[in-house]
Amino acid sequence: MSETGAAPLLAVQHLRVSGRHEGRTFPIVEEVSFEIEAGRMLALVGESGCGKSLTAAALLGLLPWGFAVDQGRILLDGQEVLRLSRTDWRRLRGRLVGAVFQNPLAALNPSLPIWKQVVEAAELSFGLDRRAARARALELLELVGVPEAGSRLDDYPHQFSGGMRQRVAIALALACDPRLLVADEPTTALDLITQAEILKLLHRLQRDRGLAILFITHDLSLVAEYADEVLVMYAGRLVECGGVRAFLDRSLHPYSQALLGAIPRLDAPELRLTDIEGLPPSPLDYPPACRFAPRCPRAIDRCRSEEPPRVGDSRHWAYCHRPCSLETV
Amino acid sequence: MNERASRRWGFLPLLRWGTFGRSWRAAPLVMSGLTLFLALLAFSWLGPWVYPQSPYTIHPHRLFLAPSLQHPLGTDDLGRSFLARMMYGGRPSLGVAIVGSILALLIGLGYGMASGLSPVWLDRVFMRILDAILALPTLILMIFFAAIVPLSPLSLILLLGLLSWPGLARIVRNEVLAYKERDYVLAARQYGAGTGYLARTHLLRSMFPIVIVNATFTVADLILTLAGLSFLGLGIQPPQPSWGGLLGNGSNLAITGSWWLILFPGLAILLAILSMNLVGQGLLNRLEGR
Amino acid sequence: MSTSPLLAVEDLTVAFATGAGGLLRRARGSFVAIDGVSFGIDRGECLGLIGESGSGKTTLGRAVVQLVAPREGRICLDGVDLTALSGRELRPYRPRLQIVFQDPTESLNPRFTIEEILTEPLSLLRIGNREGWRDRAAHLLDQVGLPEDLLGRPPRYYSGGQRQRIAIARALATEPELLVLDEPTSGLDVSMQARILNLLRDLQSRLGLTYLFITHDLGAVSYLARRIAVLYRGFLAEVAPTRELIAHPAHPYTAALFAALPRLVRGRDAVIPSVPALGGSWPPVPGCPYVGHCPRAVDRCRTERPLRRLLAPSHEVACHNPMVGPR
Repeated sequence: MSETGAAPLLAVQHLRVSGRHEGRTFPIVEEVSFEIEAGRMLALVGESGCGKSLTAAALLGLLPWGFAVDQGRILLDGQEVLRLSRTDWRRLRGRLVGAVFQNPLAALNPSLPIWKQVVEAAELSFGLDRRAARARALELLELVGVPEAGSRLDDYPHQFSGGMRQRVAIALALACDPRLLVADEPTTALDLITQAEILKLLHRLQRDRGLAILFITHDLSLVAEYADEVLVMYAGRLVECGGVRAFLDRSLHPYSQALLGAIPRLDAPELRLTDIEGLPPSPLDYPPACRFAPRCPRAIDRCRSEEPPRVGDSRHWAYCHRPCSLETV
Repeated sequence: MNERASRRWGFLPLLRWGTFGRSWRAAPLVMSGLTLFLALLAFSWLGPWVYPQSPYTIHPHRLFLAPSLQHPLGTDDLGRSFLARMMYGGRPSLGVAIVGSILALLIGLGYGMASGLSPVWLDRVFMRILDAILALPTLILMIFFAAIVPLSPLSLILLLGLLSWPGLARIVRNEVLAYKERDYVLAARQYGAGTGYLARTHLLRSMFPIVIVNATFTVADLILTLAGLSFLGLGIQPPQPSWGGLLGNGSNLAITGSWWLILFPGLAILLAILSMNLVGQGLLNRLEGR
Repeated sequence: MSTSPLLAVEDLTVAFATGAGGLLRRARGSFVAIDGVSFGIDRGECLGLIGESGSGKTTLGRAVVQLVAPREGRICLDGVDLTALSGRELRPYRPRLQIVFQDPTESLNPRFTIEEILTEPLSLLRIGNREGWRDRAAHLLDQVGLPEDLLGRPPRYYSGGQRQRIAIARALATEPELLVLDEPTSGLDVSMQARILNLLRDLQSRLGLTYLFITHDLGAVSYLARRIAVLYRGFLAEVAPTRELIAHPAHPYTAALFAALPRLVRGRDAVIPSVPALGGSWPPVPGCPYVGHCPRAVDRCRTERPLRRLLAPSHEVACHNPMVGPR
């Protein structure tokens, strides 16, 4: 997707993450390749269990016990991180990547005042003294829009509301001036209005500071509203990739279409929502060939026997034997 | 227990027939503890069929014989077969503890349910009473009662059962509080379910695993307590043997060098407690792993 | 309205005691979760009730099915005030109104089989005889699109979406007229959510059910409900037909909610209006509960609690300075 020729900030190539179950190794996420450029928001969309959070964890080096990247490359600012030593990778990550998760309380230490937590990461890399550290914390809290930040520096996480906690967690993630932010369902636990505020904040950071954001979500309407590009994941594989406008106007993969059709429309509430029959497969027995075929309304015999080809162009593609809107492109 | 019942009560395939090998792999702790405990029960109740010697017959000409082929566990200070005494001694040691625990469990269930399902003020009263009982030094109390009550297995069951339920009652009450506001209980209440029905079905089924785990630990506790009382001469009365009593007697005779009179009853008590703790810990691990 | 509504809630106030209290001491304060709420639902209608976390929407739903006792007000089913009835007198009314809880993992006892779950209401309310229960349970599963062979197993064998359908089947067991749906889709994936919403829509038209659909999801509510009530901190801010509410929200809080809702169709260049922050202290000032966050607040809002008034046919709002005037 890089038109300028400049190397993308993050490039993931043929990533495979495997997990162990009863002594056997199963690939859970496979053949995941994508790139993010500075100042862009890439959304990784899928339903629970599709492997989107595992992909994020692999990028952050936070895979849970029993899971490992056993294939592929992760290029962060041109460096191949899987070849680096553990320490070097951690250092590179600390400098370049910030992370925000669904539950801000998990990221915050309940027994430390906010300012200390916010600069803890920064101190590691810049070695600030106390006064400079407090100033830096204030700057960060103001950046993420904590009202009256100056008087709240010494507060503890429980003294903040859910939305404010998530802002503080974002401040924490930004403490080292990262160039990439991985946001894994950052607003799922929040109320509608707070969600809108947090996403507007992310959008502002992306625009003003050239932050690249990998936004992991299950909610396509958020993607439509905020992201630049979208990746759709199903059963551990990418099924479609494209610019958000092109994706919304003519999505290629039947799964993407079904997901879009499953969202109630305020402008046309009488429109029946799309039913997707069946359940997503378990990683322990992914179907052969196209993994969506058993649930796909457009599936033909070939879908169950042959790996689907990549269709579309370099900017908007899908893996499908019978893509939906290619003929009309 | 059939499949349906074992599913209902929680411990799943463990208690199902025909899956013995699977159960071993799934819960080695539980199965080894259970096997050990069953072995001790068999030793005490079935043993005398295999080794039909009287534990009471005195043989003045064969005192303090060390273990040999003829007397597998040796003889005691009155020449009685120590193996026979160990077998007969296991019956009150295990039986009193098991029946006493069941008694404690029933009282604990009733009291805990009543407390947890009562209005807040009454629950508080129940709990303060419980605190008062828990504050009493149990062993001293037992020694006191053992001194004034005629001692028999039945009176010991009552004594141990009546003194060891408060811990279970507290667990039951806490479980009731944890479950009584759950949505499925609310749903049943919405269908007009009464308190008795909720206690019998939803609450009992939900708390069953944790209650069984604690009842198992209670059995282990009571084995130890009873052994302690008997050791002090306040438990099962001679000449009826019990493991604690045998141990006490053996330690009085330690000066004679009769190591078997101490080793075997001590070992039996240890194994009995170990087996119940294995079962309890294994079940607990399964519960927490879920 | 010519006919009387199936459910009429009048001036409902629900409060919870707060503070621990001692052994013989009464608890001190109280927290007002629902504050003077009134609304009606006609037979066969679906009323959507939206509110964010802490708005009291779950409490309201539980009060309607008599799981929470109100401090004041009436809840009338077909003109009979349920809050005045004793437990025994309530019994004949229980089958007629049912509730589906938010999280089926919580609302289905993990130690029951599906058959036990589905027949429990029948046995508790003494409906039919034991021999017919199994068939009834199978029929209920069929109604929610699940196969009969699920009956023998406990809920953990099934996915979240399937469990929620089982919970819906249980609520249908007593052939209710009114179903309170408390966030029935909020824990589910998009595709499962769509199936549940479709199922609820089909059931409503097939069985002529009446719904009180409680949710924070504006999309879901506009899919099912023809009329929406907006709850803010136990206070009913606005009630209006769905289309009217989307097109002309009158209460500033409603407007903020709809502005914050992400949409597929809005262009990414469209301006998302600024939304006032939520948060603040309880209990509120004597005026409007929303005054602290309201961009349109006037002096009167701080001193006087706004009463509900009619803006347009069946469009009511409780606001001194609404976004749209009466028409």
